[in-house]
Amino acid sequence: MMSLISMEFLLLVLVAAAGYYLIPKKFQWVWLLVFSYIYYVTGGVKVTCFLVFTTVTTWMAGVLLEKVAQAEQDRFVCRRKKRQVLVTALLLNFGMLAVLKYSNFAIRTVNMVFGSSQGELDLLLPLGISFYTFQSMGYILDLYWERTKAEHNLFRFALFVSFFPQILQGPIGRFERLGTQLFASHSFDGRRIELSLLRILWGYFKKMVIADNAVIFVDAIFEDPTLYSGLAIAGALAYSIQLYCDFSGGMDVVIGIAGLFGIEMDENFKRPYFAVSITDFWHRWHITLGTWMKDYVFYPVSLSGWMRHFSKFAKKVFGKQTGRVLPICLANIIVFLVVGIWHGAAWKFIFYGMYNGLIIAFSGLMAPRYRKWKQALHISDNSKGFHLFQILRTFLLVNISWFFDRAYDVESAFRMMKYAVTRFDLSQILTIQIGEASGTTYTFIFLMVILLGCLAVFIVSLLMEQGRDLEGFYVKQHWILKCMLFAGLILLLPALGQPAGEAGGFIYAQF
Amino acid sequence: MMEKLLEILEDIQPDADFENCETLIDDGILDSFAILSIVSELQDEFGITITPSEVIPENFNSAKALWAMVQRLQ
Amino acid sequence: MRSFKKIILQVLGIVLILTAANLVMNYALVPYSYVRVMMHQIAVEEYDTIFLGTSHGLNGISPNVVEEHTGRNCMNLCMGGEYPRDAYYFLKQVCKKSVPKRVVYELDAGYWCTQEGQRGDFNRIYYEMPWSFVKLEYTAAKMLELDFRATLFPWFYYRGQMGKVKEIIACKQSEDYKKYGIAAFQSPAQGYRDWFMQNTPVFQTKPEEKLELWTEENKNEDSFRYFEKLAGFCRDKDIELVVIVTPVPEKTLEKHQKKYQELDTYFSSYLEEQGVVFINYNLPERKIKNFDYSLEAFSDYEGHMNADQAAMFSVQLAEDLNQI
Repeated sequence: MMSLISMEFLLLVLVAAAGYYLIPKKFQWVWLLVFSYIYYVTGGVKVTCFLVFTTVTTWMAGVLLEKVAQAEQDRFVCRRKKRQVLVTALLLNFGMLAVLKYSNFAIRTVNMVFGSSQGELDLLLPLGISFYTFQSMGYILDLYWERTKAEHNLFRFALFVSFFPQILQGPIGRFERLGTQLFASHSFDGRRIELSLLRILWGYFKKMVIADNAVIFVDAIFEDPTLYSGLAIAGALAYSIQLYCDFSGGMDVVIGIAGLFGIEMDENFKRPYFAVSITDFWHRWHITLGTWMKDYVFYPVSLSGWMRHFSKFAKKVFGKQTGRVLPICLANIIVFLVVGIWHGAAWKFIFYGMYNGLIIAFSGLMAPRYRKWKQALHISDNSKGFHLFQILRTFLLVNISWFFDRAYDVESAFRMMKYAVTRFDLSQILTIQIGEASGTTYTFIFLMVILLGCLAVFIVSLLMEQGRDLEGFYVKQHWILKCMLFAGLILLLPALGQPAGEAGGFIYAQF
Repeated sequence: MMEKLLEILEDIQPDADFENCETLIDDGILDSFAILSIVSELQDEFGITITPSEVIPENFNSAKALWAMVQRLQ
Repeated sequence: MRSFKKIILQVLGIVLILTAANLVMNYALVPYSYVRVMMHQIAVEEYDTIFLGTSHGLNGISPNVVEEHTGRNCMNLCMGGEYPRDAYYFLKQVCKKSVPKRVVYELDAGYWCTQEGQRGDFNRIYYEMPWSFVKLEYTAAKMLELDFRATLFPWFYYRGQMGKVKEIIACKQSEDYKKYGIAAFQSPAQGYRDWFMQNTPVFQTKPEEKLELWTEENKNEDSFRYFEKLAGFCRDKDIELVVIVTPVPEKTLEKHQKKYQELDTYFSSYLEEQGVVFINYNLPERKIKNFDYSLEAFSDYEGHMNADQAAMFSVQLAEDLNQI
């Protein structure tokens, strides 16, 4: 599959964008579909079959759902039939995702538990399968709950599933918002294209100059936590930098490219490290996954019949307040179990999910008590000090979760956490080598590059958090200044960016 | 009966202005925990069943909207 | 219409800044390389025999010696980082001036089972090649998959040269550079003279870690694909193609006997299929008389030989070529 930083990808985008505004408007969506498939097919014909399978089954299920809803008079028969269609579609698609992604994990686990030695399967993992499966299943569930209308044209629907900028790493789109934009016609808008290009560059800057430099330190520290035992904290910090810049940088590129076609995608990040709680963090980090989970797992599970029974039971046993919150906590833990599994087939990701789920559940249960404590201590939610405390506390909690995410396994995650509190020796960082031949000559320089890069991102984020209109500010500048900004950003990529590894990939493209 | 609703709401989230606010969801005043707590109480209090398709911002943005939903489902 | 003019102006402005920056950075950071000399030679001279391949060939084959013993005009275009893909387009570039009668491809199995790396020397042939249709083809074949910075900013892989800017600029302004001279490539350890790299004997522990042994599971499909293109191209142009493997130290052979056997078995049958003559100098029957197989005569376990060894090997190579 073409990497987002490859020459061929740039050319593909260039040709696609130029042609988009030259062809008759009613063919614009067809043009996007063609390029989306060109893009996906370069990753292999076999994996494309899976994409087509999801597209066709979901499309058929959608049309069927609508037909049943219109034709069936009896409410109960209608519900039963709709449920049959829904369950079939979900089983087929999530089933395929599960088989491809989790078979080997299941085999490994069985082997571990029973000491057997079943060989692992050689399975294809179509790129972006987690993203497009979730996007398609969201559509089917929306139809089931009659929140959207079915798409009758198979090819239009195929574009919704395969739109090339987003297929590898999201954002996960909703049919109501993304679909309508994809099928609409768009006229050339120089300003929008200029801003989109700037956003793409900003994304590359975050990815190449910050994340790809940080990854060198992260890899060194996490590969050998004992050797770099004094750097456990630095490792987690560097990882939080890498992960954010890699993922949100990738999103800037994706959203920017979609913007070239006049398509506004849902945002996936809202300055997550300014979050005041873990709940808030998940409202700002990988937002489209969070809202997907909320709408399609959290609410349905919480509102299900058996949850209602559990709620009644809990209210009797634990009293009104706790009894009310307890089922919600349970649903929330289920959600984060799914989030953990979504990230990958490994126990450390399940830990990672549970960690987040448990913290949110705990703070949910404690909320009334916190409120009382704050009243007693005269702490106002609006005071600056308290706000800063909340941000730092959340950032710390998030950093702890990264140990699970990045460490080799659960055991070494715990070991690193131990080092984080027992050992501390920042000078070790200068012994990490950068580049094959140059040893540690450039280590200090690239550390500074990371720090200055982060400072730039921080300033921009802070201004946005304060609600400043950065685009408006940019637009007002003299055109020569704009040229210099563009050229400067472009030149920083080769000057200070690190060559990406062999794969040249983005972290989230592997999910 | 509207008073009963307001009572429930204030019990769940004491610091919100339910009588006047029309953007409970849009402005993030109610988080998902609060929403589900409200749903749970409404179901018990008014004997209704709220399905996922009802959990949309339009139904939760104000006390009035909530009340309209309850009446519709009764 | 005003806004459209403005857009054009802005785009032009950006392109102008980038081009200027590129010119300056390329000049200041990309050091002078013997690949430039090679490119120049094949543009001005006509050769009968061309050697393609890797650093082993660059160190081991003296074109002058082979020329003397075969009576054919020879040029060595081997270099470290030259994969079959690069060799193929290098040959095409040669043929723009004149078509050689014979091509000897020096095969290092490591290049057939590893992925092309991303460093300056892996792109050097590309950077030095003058713009032409061949280069366009080469771009499509090699650069499209790579990081866009490798194509658009050749200096990208040479940022580490920041400390040597003065030397690089001084070198590029020298008469030697303008005349495609070789003064810049002389160091106590090795020197590019008589169109090949002459290693001085060293007497210290020989490095072992860069030795890449043949591993069929890691086959680089691209290397095979482009070798077949190369072979096809030679057939079409009536060029005789010979593949050789240069001798490695005895110690290496002993240590990795099985791997070298696998290499011979695999490539013998593969090259027979391709209808290409294959001479493997690591077979017992190919032992070269008076050739020193001890580690002393090589710079490393991989088999980069010293200059006087290279002369001896080249004589044998020439004789074998004469017999084909």
